[in-house]
Amino acid sequence: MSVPLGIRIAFAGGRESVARMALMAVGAAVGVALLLFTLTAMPVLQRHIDRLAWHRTTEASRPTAPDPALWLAVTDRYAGRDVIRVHVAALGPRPPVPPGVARLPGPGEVVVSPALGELMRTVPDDQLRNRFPGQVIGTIGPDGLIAPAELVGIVGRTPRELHATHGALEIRGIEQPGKRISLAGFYRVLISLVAVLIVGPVVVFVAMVTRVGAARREQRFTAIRLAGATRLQTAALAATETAAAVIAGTLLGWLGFLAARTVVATTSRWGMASRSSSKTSRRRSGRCCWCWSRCRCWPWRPPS
Amino acid sequence: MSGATPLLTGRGLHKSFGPTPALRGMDLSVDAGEVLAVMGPSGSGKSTLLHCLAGILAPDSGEVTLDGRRVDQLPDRERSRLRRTEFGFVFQFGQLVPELPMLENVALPLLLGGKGRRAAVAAAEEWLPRLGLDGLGHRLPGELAGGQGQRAAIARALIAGPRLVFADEPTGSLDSVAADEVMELLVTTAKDERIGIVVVTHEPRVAAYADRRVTMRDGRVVQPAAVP
Repeated sequence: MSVPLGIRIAFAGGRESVARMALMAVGAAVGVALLLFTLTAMPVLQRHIDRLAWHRTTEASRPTAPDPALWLAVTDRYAGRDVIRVHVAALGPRPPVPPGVARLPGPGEVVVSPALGELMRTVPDDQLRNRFPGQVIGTIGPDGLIAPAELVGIVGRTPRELHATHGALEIRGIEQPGKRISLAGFYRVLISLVAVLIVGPVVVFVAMVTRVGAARREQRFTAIRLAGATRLQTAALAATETAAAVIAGTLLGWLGFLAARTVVATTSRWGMASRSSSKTSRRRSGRCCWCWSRCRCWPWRPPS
Repeated sequence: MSGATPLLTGRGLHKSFGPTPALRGMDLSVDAGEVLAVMGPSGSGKSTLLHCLAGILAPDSGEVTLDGRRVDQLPDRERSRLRRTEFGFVFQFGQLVPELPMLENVALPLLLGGKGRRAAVAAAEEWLPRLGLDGLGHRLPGELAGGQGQRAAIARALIAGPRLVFADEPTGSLDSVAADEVMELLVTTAKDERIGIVVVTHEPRVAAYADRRVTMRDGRVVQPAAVP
């Protein structure tokens, strides 16, 4: 009896009740959505790092194919965005192949990310297309992209061309994802932060919304107790009322998360250069735009 | 008071709120079907007495018995059952659930007792004409006049067939005409159903409806008086 009566009371109070329920639901929805985004942040970052691995290919990368290849990765900019260009030349019939492509492009062939292909079609050839000489024979699949918006292309060359190019490396394998990030310690910190910074304010918000109708709520439960409700029945009525808002809010938050994550995924620049420095200054400094130090995690180091 | 065993008895009731004593050894009994008025100035302990007798508050000491059985020590579940089946309540502001239409408010004790919604509402509908509330069953408490709200509270107090109704300043928020109507209805209907009433009031015109009056001051009875 208590649950149907609780639902009826929760929604039968006219605009005030509906507004209070709606605010509580919004509070719960915001909390759920933020929590889901927070909890998915690390797995997403891990996935980005995994997809980033092939960009770290060097002559020291472990062999992944029987035959070697020549490899020269450079990064430049177009309209403020990083454009990654990898020149490759197979040194045998079975060279290493980066993720997201079926085979290494041969001389005069190019594979590009969908975003780069689209961009090349919309701007004059002498601004971008001419940086990728050859015929575009395909696109790089999601496994080879950090994000859908990534601008990356693989240009097939002859071995002779690349042997003559300063900085080209002879590789025997494509760099593979390394050890996974240890999440245990991170989650301990994360949960504390989430509790304090995200869930805390949401709980305060929901509590404040609940207090808006506190007087009426008290009147309601006094009346119900007087009419003979046990403490358990009264608690069930109160819980039903709150649960209705929280369930609706959780559903709303989940749907919001599902809708927003697509937007976040397509606009995320994680793992991509986000600092507004020029190609030349970066190359001159030899700093990685991922960790901004002189490291080997990104192929922007100046050729020695 | 008749010579028969009282329906409800309070003996040696003490109740304090922090350092402030509200009841200081109250003794009171109510016979079946009797209308008892408890009078006294504000702060004399009238409402506290009513709450202790009705099992809403537990006295610090003393005992309350219904048909000779202790009720002040009953667990919450049993006291709730008493409030639902043996007692009815009419308070100053009706104590109706603002979100429920009047019909469901009247039916509430039956709904809480486990009766099906249809049967409970049907039982409530039978009470409306008797209290002059015909056609108002679907209105929310906020849409009712003060006297109508109190009549709905009376219907709710009587619907489960209680043996005793506790009324705490039932006409306190009404004008004199509506107050007379409400008291007339409460007393007449209770007499018809042989239901006793304990009415707490400081208004002599309300107390005039009672079979017996007691006057309280500082948590004690100072003037028991039988109504001729």
